[in-house]
This record gives sequence, C-alpha cells and structure tokens, in this order.
Amino acid sequence: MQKNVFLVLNSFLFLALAGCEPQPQEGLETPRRHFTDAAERDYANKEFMVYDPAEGLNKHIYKFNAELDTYFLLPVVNAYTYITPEFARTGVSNFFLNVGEVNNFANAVLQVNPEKATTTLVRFILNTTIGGLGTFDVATRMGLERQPEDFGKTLGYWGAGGGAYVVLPVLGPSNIRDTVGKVVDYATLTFLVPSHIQDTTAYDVIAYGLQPINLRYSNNFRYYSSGSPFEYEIVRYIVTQSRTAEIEKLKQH
Amino acid sequence: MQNNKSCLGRRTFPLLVLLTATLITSCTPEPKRITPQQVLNSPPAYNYPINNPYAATIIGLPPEMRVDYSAIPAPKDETLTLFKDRPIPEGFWYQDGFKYSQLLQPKAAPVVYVIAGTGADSRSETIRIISNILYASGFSIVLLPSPTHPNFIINASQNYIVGRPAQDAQDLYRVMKIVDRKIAVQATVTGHMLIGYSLGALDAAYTAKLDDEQKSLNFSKVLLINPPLSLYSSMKVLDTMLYRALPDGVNDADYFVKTALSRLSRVDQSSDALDFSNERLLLDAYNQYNPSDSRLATIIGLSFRLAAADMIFTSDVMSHSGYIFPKNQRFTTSTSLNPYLAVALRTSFRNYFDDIYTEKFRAEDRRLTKQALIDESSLQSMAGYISHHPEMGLITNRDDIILAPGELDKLVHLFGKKCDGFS
Repeated sequence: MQKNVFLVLNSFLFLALAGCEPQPQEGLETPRRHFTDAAERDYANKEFMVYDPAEGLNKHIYKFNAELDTYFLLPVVNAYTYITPEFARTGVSNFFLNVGEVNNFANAVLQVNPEKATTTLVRFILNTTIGGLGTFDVATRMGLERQPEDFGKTLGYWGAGGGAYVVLPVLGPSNIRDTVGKVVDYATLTFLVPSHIQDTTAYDVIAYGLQPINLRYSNNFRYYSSGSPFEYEIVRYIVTQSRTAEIEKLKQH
Repeated sequence: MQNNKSCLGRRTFPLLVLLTATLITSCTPEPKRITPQQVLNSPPAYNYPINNPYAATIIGLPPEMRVDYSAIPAPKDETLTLFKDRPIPEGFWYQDGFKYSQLLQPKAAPVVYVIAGTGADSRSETIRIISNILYASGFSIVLLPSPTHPNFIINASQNYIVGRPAQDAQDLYRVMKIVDRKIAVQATVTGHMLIGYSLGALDAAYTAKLDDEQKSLNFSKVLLINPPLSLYSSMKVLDTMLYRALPDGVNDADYFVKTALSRLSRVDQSSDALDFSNERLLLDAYNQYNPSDSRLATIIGLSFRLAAADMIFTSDVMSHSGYIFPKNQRFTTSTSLNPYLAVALRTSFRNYFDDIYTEKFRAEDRRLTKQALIDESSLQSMAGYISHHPEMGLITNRDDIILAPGELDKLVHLFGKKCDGFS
C-alpha cells in the first residue's frame, strides 16, 4: 500500500514541476565574453555536457532534494547519530548491505560472472550466519570484498546506453537506464523476501523507517557544500562519467 | 527433524570453528593513528614521504600518517547577515547568509581566526586540520571562507569585485569584528591571533596591517602558511599549469577528465565500484599509474580554473557586469547555465584581472595603472610593515608549487628569522 502512495506522490510532483519549464527570456544583451568562433562553440556544446533534455525540471527536483535534505532528512540523520552509538549504526548499515547482496548476486549472475556471484554468495552466507544476520561484515575482514552490482550496470554491461539524465525525487541523480535498473532491483528484492516477513510491522519499520535513514546516513554528500554555482552541472557530469567508467570496467572482464 | 538438526549441528560445528579461526587470524587490526596529545607532547620529525610537489598537493597526507582527531568536537556552522537589504537572485537561494564555523573552548582562551585558501570555505580539509590541532592546543577557533568563495562574494563582499587584498581585508575585518562581539557573549576571550593558508595567508597579512591601523582586535600573533609572494605571479603560475598536459586548454579537458576517472575506477581491483570515499584512492592511483608531472600540474590547473569559474561567474551575476552572464537576464533555479559554464571554464583569473578588476579600480582612481595594481597585491609592498612586526611569521614549503622561480628567496628575505621552510 505504502509503495503505491509513494508512486502517486511522485507522479504528482512530476506533474506539478512539469509546469515550471523555463521560458527563454527575450531580448538578452550579449555578454562581453561569448563565443564568436564556431569551433569554440562546438567544443562548448560537447565538453563536460551531458544529454539532459528535462534540465529545467531536473534542476527543480535537485532543489527540492536539497530542501528535503535541509529540513527533513539531515535533522533525522543527526537525531539518529545522536541517539545511537557508532557500532549500532555500522551494524544497521551492514545489515542493509547484506540484504542488498541478493541484488548483487542476481546481477552478477545476469552479467555471467561466476567469480563475482560466488564471492557474493559466500559473503551472504558468512555474514548472515557468523556475521549475526549481516550486522557484522566478517567476509570483508576475511578478504572477500563486497561486489556492489545493480540492474542499471547489468543493462550497461549488455550494451544499453544511459539515456537522458534524470534527477529522481529523494533518490537524486540518475539516468533513464539506471532508473529502470532501480525499479527492477527493488522488485527483485520484494519478490524474494517471503510474504510472511513482509507482512509484519517490524518489516515496515525497517523498510520504510530505518532503511531510508541509513541510506542518507551512509552518504556523505551535502547539497551545495561545494559552494559552486555550477554544482548541478558538475554533479551531473561526474555522476555520469563515473557510471560510464564503472560499466566500461565491467565490460572488460 | 530432530535427527536432521543434530546432524547439521555436528557437521557445521567444525566448519564454524575453522571459520572463526580464519577470522581471528586474518583480521588485521586498524592501524593505530597518532593522537593530537602525542603530537603536542613530542612533535614528530617532518618526514613527509611524497617528494613530488604536484603529487603532494593533490594527495595531501597519506592516511596512515594522519592524526586521529575523532575526539575533537566538530566546529559549529554559523550564519551571519551582513548587508540586510542586499537583493540575492533566486538562483542563489541556498546562499542564505554568510557561512563560517567556530569551535570555542569551555574555559578562557585566545581566539584564532583562520582564513581559507582560494575558493575554499571553513569546511575545507586543510582548514579543518589546522583547526583541530589548534583546538587540541587550547585555542578557540573561528574558521572563515576565502573572499574568493561564492558565499563570501554574495554575502560579505562590499562590491562583489573580490581579489584585491586591501579591500578583501576590509571585508574580512568587518566580519571578524562582528563575530568577535558575538563570541564575547559565549566565551571568555583572552586574546586574538590570525592564521591564513595560501591565498588566505595573503589576506591575513593585509588584515593584520588593517588591524594595526584600527586596533579593534589587536592580533598578538599572525601566521602565514604557504602564502604567495605576489598574487598576480601565483595566478600566472597556476594558469600556466593547466596547459602543461593540455596545449589547447579546456577544449581538450573533457577527454582528460574521462581518462582520469576511468583510471581511478581501475585502481581498486577487488570490485567494480568507483568509491570516492576511499581515503587511499588518490595515493593508490598515484603509485599505480605514476602520472607525469605535466598531468599532475594539469589536474591542479583544472581545479584552480574551476575555482576561478565559480568566483568570476558569481561576481558577474551579483554585480550585473554583463561579463559572462547577460546583464539583463534573471538568474533562477531553472536558468540553464550550460553556455555560461562553457565560457566561465575558458576564463582565467588573469582575464578577470585585466577585464573586470583593473577596469573597476581604475574607474575609481584614474592614476592607478595595471602594474600598480599588480605591485600592491604583493607581500613585497608590505616589506616595511613585515620587518617592523615581529609577531608576523611564515611557514612554507621550499618547493611550494604556487611560487615562481626566485620567489622563495624573496619570501625568506622578507621574513628573515621569522620563517620556517620545509622541503
């Protein structure tokens, strides 16, 4: 039920924001420094640029996410940091990373990578058993590194391009391919968790309470801490290029 | 069922023992890091391991040599409104006040004001390191952004045209006096000191001189860490660095950055993820790829160019100069900045100096020449002041990359016995 409410809220947000697409201003004075040379203009159109057809909308969602962060998520994370000891927070992070091994495993299989799939499976078994349901990451200490994989990367591995840049409400920078990936990963996990566990209050508290808090706690990014007026453009470029680099590395195996 | 269970139990038991044994033997304990108290009790010898000054600038201190500051509280972020009715465009909605940080001692203590380097603010890593060691030594700390940081330009600069040391000092001094009145209520302040890092060190020197005239804070000690000798000369050095591996400048930078990211993603072979939070990432990348000096210089030049782009664009929008951003365009959240970013990235500090800075200050005083503006922003113009003020000291590196050939000797000559140089 809650999931549906989330979806409805999100689509409302999209519709509301779609109305604020910028209208190019008429009669602008030409600034002193501008490109007069066609070659320079060509460079300018491709260097550091990312395909972003919904830029106006994306920028509004970026701002919405920053405000959500300031007024809601970060205060909650600060309270969480204040009331829980560090080892407990590490335990919570490890627990969710361990649950996420389900996705890592599924994607390692889809990428036909037995080595990665085996590592992930052994990690999951070790951490779930002697790692106390995943709260201790004993596998990493034994030299079995986590293999973070997602369906977006799997799609990339099989040749799908990123498509248009998208800023997702709450979740942040992504693109069309990785958004599809997120939905599939989420569905996989939901499908694999037995329904008698999903229907408990404890599961709701963990999935809709603790998990989002932990997700924000585990990410050090702070909106506008770069101080740059071009933060949106730089984040867009770095996120896109890092993702491309990761997928290229994946393809070389 | 019962049989099954006990059978499983008997089989898994040896496996568990084996696993636990492997676990105990293979668990490498976290390397123990030195505490601030150990540093203060017996300062370690200066044995910085990276000899290449470009690599040193990018990598900083290798993780295992860093001091463990986790016991020191984080500085508190504070906000000030300095110019009440200043109109700020919606595109800068997040710049809601001047941002600085402070960390006050619970007991009576002197306050040290720390000024950050080019484009940096009170959250920059270098500034935090300086802050931590000072706090551990018993000082209260106020951390200020560089006047070239967008937040400073928007909220604390008197006319948005930043970079002129004497004027930036006035802006900084105004902030310091207000902050000082605020902290006088919260803590017992027994004195004032001033530290600046890099460009911030030049600002510190001019602020100290201003304080000597106005005598509001009476700094008892002023320390310049890695200052430029001449602002213009150091800007030239950093501008030139960009072109070392990129003869065509920013026009080739896209490929350069993509290659760098792709290399970074290959450093950690244990997984396919690119983890920027890994504190060894840059050091490992350096050891693995052994990049040439020109590539390293270009990385520094590029990050400096980005700081210049931020500064020049912000200054332009706020002052309505029509330099990069059309004078009559509204700046809002949805304004597409792509064309302006492209121009800003191709605009150097020296372009700004020639086109905006020189014009602005020459319009105020026709007798000023470009050369006079260059000369007045050099520590050499303060030679008399420096030699008569024993409380002003200098720490720098003999191979500091922002110094042009011969400038180190001039710095040493200016400060005489009051300087420490590390190689």
